[in-house]
Amino acid sequence: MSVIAISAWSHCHGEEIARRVARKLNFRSLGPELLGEVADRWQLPLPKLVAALGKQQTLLGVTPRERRRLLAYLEAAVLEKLAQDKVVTWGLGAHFYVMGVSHVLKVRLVLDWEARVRAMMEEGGMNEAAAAKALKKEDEARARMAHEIYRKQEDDPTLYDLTINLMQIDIEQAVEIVAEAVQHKRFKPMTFSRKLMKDQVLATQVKAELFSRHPDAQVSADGGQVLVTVPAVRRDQEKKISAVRDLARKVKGVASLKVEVVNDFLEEAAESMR
Amino acid sequence: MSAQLKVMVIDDEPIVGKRLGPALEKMGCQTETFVDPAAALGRLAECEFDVVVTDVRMDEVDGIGVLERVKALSKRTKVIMITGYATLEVAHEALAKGAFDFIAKPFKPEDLRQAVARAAEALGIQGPGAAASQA
Repeated sequence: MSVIAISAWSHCHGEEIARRVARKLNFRSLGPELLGEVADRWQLPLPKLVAALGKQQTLLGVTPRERRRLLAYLEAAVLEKLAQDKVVTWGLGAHFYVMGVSHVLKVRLVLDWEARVRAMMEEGGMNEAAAAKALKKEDEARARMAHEIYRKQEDDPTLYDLTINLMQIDIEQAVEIVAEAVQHKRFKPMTFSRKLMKDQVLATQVKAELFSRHPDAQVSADGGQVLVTVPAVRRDQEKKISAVRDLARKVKGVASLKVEVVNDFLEEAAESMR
Repeated sequence: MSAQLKVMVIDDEPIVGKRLGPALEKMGCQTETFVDPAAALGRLAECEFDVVVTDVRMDEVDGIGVLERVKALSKRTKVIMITGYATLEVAHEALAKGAFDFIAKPFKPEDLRQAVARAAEALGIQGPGAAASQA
């Protein structure tokens, strides 16, 4: 069966539609409740993980490197769940990292600004100006995350298979449309798309395992064969290869591993100036 | 509904048919292999197959052409596309035109056996082919 990834700004009924579609199709719903599980599994601070996704901000914020690290763990956990099929995911940014997987229906929900502000006013007991200010801040944080990590604009319609304007289509109809769209043969899992998903799961798990020591590692996987590319200064290259190997081999599913090193010119230049 | 799954394999590289034919026969399928897609289409006009496994890129008639022809001749026949040039676009096109599955080369014979078993299941055939692959 297929997977559905629902994306929306906050206060666009994303959660409600995702849950109702999941119930209708007898799929599992996978939303921000997963963040707690991810934080426990990798011993991560939950508020920072939430902030990394561009949601509630922490006092000190999240540095770009920290964000990349936290989202590497989140991606690994989300993809692992999506590989089990029959899932509706929302609120985890999954639409960014399942781009190439054809059996994932990517849906964008759109609601106009005034309606979102009204929803925020009701939810937060705020006046209009405060609600608008809070929403704007949230949207900016989300947009920053999307650009920083994925180099994408979240509301770019080309990222999605289906965009639903909730000013024209009510929630009930939206649920029907999404549930019907995923039955289309284009979104049927194939051996090819399942393999892409499995490769992506493995690559993100290796990346998560490597991140704390090798944050610049690029990882790809092809049927259990994993390729890691890391930058290193010339004299450290052998040591780096061995360190990467030791960590990456721990990940279940790695059948063979190739580590390639590229010269870290920046570090070499910095060293020569010291 | 036959107990033995009738499978046609079409690939213009002879080695592919030589490898896949025996792999499918081992699971109990009755297999015919073709390197010439035009000859394969001729055979399809004479006889209905349960499953057609076809390469996508071939000179004379490409896999999408085979798929369209198979679907015109027999709606129930399941078509599995195999290709060394897999892209999301080709996969989408194949599925939209009615392909049952799409497999990127290189693949393990087991991947194909599983796809064929799923096709058998979708056809309601519980023959030796289906049983062997589920083992």
